[in-house]
Amino acid sequence: MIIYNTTWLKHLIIQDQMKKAHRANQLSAEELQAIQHKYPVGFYSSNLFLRIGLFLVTTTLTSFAFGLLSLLLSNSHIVESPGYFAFLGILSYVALEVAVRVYHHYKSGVDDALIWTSGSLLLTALYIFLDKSAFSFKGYVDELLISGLVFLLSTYFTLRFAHMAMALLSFCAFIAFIFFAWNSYGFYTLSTMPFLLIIMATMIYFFALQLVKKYWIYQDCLGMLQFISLLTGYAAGNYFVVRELGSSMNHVVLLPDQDIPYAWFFWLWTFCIPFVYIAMGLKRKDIVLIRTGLILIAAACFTLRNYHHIASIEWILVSSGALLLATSYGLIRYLKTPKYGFTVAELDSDHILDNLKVESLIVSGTFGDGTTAAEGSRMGGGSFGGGGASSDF
Amino acid sequence: MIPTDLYKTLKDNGTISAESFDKLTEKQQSSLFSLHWELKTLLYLGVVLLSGGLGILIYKNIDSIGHQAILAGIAAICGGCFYYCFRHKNPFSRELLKSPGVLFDYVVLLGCLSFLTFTGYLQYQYQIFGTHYGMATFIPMLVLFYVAYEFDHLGVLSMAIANLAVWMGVSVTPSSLLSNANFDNQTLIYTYLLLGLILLLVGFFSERFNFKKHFRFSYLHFGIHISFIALLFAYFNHYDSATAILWLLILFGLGYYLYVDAMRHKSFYFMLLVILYSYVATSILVFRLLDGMSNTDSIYMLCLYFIISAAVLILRIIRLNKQIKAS
Repeated sequence: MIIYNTTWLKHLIIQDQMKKAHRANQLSAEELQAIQHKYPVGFYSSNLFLRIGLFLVTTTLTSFAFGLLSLLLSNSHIVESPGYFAFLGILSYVALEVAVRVYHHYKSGVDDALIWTSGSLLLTALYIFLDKSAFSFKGYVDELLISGLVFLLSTYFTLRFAHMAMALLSFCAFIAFIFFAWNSYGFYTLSTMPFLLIIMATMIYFFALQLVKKYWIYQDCLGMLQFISLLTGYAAGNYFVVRELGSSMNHVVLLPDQDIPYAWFFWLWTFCIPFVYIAMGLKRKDIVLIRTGLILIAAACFTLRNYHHIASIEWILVSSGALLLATSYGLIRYLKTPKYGFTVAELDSDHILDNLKVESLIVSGTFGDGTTAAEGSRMGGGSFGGGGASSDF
Repeated sequence: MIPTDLYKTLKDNGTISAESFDKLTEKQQSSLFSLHWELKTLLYLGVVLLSGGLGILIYKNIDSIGHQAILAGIAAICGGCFYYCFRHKNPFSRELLKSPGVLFDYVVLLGCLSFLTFTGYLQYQYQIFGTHYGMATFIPMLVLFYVAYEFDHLGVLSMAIANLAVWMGVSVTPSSLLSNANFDNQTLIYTYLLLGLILLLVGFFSERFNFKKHFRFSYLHFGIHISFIALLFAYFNHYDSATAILWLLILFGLGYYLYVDAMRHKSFYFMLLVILYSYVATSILVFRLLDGMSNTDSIYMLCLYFIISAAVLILRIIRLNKQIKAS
């Protein structure tokens, strides 16, 4: 099913592992070179920046080429038929296969662009075809149809190209399909929906966890699946999501003092799950679980803040900031000498400079704008960049 | 997933030495788990939340708590941070300085942010700089540049560059540069252009004189974006006059120089920026030429231009990537 040369994929993993070992001074440069020679990789790949660049340029190319073609054919009625979209989709899919098979593109930006182009064109073609033909769809069936089609197409692309974004899309489409299907055909949909989605996400998580041992080719996609299923499993039981989504599905407006059924369960879920994830992650040394848990703690705090006014925003900011600083400072001190197999030291210094640079850009992105925000406000940007003064220019 | 017997195979066929084999297997058994990036992210978030919260706190309570109390509080945080930094810092070096600890960088950041709050507050409340608004931004800028060089902190350097731009009367973040698009103000465009060129120059000098060579990236990043955007704006500003083409010529000249420089440094990022900005400029020019025809043929020509140029560009970028990787 997979289009890539699996030997090369294996060699790629070996090379990456050995480069890591080389950076950690466990391997000499000559040995690394010998290994690279022994396990060659023939793929053409771009680094992140060139990948984005090639993606943009390839998208420009395909859109103008298809635009020109449509312009030439605009007098005939071909352009409106689903067959025309299918034709364009197949055209770009063929280009994709050629780029990957003949020119060995692998995560180069060109293949990414062609995957998205052909996928969306084929989706349009299928949708128009099914919508125009005899079926008389009503209500939710339209959403069902789209999510089903997206799921089928993106699953195909995931399996064929081991593409992470497609794996993500495939998961989302699947969950959307389940959601809409249960919503229109299930029983007691409102009260069962959160539990159904939680069960689904949990099943997919453990499924992906099992598969990753066997199907190493798809390890990136399966990692993505783990992350998104953990996130979805949490969101399905989050108090905010259940309350707001439930009331909007049911077309009712809940007053602030009204509560949803089983509110205690959802509050428990909102606050316990992030810590369960982190605890599980620490126990199993699973980075996906730890990171997801950390993100979700923030989500839990936002949920609480949304319904209960505990303190004013600035006190929350100050105290949570101080708490974070104190906690991480404590942990850094505690783990100065590795304990229970954990350390704060950077084990792999891969792209250390790149990381620093990206971080510096983030800093300037967060604080740089503050300098101009001050205009007209009393003291607005004063905390950053002395912008309070510059407003009077 | 690495095959467990890979190391053994490699050792047996003589690709790696016995010594390396021992090191590799030892590492595989002892597998330590690093929480480095998680803790760093938490620290960063803590600094952002704390300084942001303090800013709002002061803003809201400016009338109720005493000014001296606020000032003393911020000064204490700021002083404490810099005291810690000077206690723990490594001696100054012209080269890349390794940070003394995970915490150090974030203490520097917190110190700088609270210092900015401090000066901003002083100026607002006591007008220590009077109406010399230039001074009010110039002094924080100097301090930021000093801190960035003294403690070797790229984040503070970016803040210092942003402050330089404020001092010159503009804001430097590319997003705000675009959203505040102002084609009519010529002085603003020339200021941008000057700023961009200064940053590029400083970037080149840091390498030439081997003074904090790794800061070159930040200078060039801001310099390239600002000067190219300023040149494009200058072109549109003079659109109807004959001198318009001059700005694009300057752009291509600058682009060529930066392109050669990026090739020499094997920098994918700068190469891509230069290529994309030059492509935009070329497309603007072609668009203008074809618009002169103003009939249906020109639309076909435009499509053809984009198809051909994009194809050429793709092949070119792929070739360049291979060249850089091979060298």
